[in-house]
Amino acid sequence: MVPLEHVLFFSLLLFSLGLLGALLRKNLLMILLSIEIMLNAGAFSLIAISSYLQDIDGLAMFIFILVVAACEVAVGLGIVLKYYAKYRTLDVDAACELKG
Amino acid sequence: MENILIFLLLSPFLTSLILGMFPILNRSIINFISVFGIILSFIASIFLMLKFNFQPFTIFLWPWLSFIFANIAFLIDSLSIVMCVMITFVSIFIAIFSMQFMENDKNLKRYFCYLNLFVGMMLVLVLADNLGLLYLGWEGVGLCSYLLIGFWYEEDKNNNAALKAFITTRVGDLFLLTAIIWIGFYFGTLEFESIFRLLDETTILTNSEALLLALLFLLGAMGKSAQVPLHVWLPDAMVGPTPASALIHAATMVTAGVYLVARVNDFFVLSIVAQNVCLIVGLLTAFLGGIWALAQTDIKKMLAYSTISQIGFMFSALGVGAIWASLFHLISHAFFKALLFLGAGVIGYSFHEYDMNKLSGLRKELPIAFYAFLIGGGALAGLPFITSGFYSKESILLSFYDSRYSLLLIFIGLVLSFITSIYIFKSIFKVFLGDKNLTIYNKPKSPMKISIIILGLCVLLFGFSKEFFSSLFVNRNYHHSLSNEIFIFGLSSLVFFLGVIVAFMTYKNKFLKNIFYFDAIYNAILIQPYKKLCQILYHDILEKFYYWMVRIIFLLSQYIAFLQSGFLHRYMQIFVLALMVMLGIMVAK
Repeated sequence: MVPLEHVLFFSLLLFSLGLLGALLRKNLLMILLSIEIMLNAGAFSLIAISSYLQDIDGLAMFIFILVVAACEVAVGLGIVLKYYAKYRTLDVDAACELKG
Repeated sequence: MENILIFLLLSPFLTSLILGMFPILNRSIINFISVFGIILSFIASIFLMLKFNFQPFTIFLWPWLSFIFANIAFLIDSLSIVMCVMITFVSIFIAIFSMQFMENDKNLKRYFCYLNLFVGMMLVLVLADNLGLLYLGWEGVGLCSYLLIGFWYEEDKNNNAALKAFITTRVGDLFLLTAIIWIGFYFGTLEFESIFRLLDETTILTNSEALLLALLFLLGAMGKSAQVPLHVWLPDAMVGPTPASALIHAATMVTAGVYLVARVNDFFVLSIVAQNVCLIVGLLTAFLGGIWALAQTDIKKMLAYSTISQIGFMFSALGVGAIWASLFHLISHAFFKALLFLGAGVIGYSFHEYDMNKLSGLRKELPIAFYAFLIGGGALAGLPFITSGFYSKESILLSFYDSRYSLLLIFIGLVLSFITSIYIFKSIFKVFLGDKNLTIYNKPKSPMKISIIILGLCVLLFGFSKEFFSSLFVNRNYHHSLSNEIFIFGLSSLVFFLGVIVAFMTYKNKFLKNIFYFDAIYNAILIQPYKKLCQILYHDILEKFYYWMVRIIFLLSQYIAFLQSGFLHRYMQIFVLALMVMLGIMVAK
């Protein structure tokens, strides 16, 4: 049995990786991927806690998160496609029309 | 019974919805949907009439959908059934006529969408069991009239006419709304039957209150029915498509006021003064409308003023308490005025011209329009024995005879008939006799001919249903001695022929100039001051205040605009930083 602290630490690591990726990468696709990683890190900790507390609620929440993630990917990829069609690049800084 | 009613009401609404929402491109399908919806509604109303056994009853639809005062309930009695059958019947032929009239219009779908919506709203108005639902239909027909008058919205003057119609009728609506709210608070209900029962059995209203309520209802009706002084919108409303004018501004919508007064007649019975006001307004309008009609050079405007005048006639009949005579005239007027407007529509369609000074000698070119005008005009002026207008006008004259001021009223009535007879026959002679001087663009084809022929037959035959019609309103049946009838029949026939002769002698003369400048007066005392006020307010001190408010915000925003760098990463960094700071504070506590 892996102790809960380890699992949570792993989840935190994963989340930080995702956050760093989202903050530092310039490629829109990579940002999307990083966001997915963050989402899954959160879901992972949910599962861990649910198995630690012997409670089914966390698992149910995980299923919801899975669905949301799938939807998000669909919408996000759609946006990425349109973005590429408009700017001919995936660099996020290309879209800066709302600059003050 | 409920199913029939649902059919009756929903088929125009649903077809309107279908036409409004779906991208139907095929013109014949559009035509079919619209006409089909109205025909279904007509069949349903015929069924309703056959099932009706002279006992008023109420049908509740969708009890779950009821508001504080207004249930979705419909009252079936002689009045509403007669109106229903008339509305749907006339609408069918106007829709069929429109099929050809609008054949080259690119917005055919929108036109039929409005037309069917209008029919539906009108049915709601006449069938409503309570004042709340009636008000819904009332505003609904006002809206549709606005939409149809401004149908060709590319032209500025059409939009202005539509706005004028809407605003002027709103003035009347305001009074009606006041009356409805008042009744709601006083009676605790808006249902007609409970209101009238309370009126009958209790002394819930003092005389002056009854008078005020009746006057409020009357003012509301005057707005919708274009009575002096709220009549100014109707002649301008003629800029819409002619079949729409036929439907809305002749046959149905403007008669809503007459319907309303007939419906709430119990309030008028309580107060002699209110009845007299109704009578005077009606007679004044009938007289002025007739004079104005003499002065018009545009066929449609002439017909509009004649509508105003005829509705004034109906109001005066209501003023002497002759409900059934008024309704009889309403129905026969709906037929012959629709016929006249369709005749004018044929002229407009064929010659693209409505100006009577330019039109002449159309008898050979457009026999169908000629017969339409001959029959319709004959009925309008009361051509003896074969037209319905004769019988309905006689009913009104006979009810005048029974009233308090019998001989005076009959005299006025005869003068009115005389004027009517002059203006309509003068126009007919002017337009159809003489030499032709215009080239014809289009020939009327079968849809136009069919609708005109059928409406013409109705005008000729409807007069014979007088006995049946008066039996629908059993309690209000009058019997006259034969000598009185012959006396009035003879006098009005004489007046009719005198009018025709005068018209024939004068039709080559110029038309009268426009007199009684109501529009100019309204313009001077209402519209211009309003515009002046707007101009003053446009440059006032408050305007400066708002200007500087905007200015200051703009200047301040310059200092924080740099935060909007346009780089996504910067935003995310700020976001994460703020989140961390907030978490840190929470942990520290």
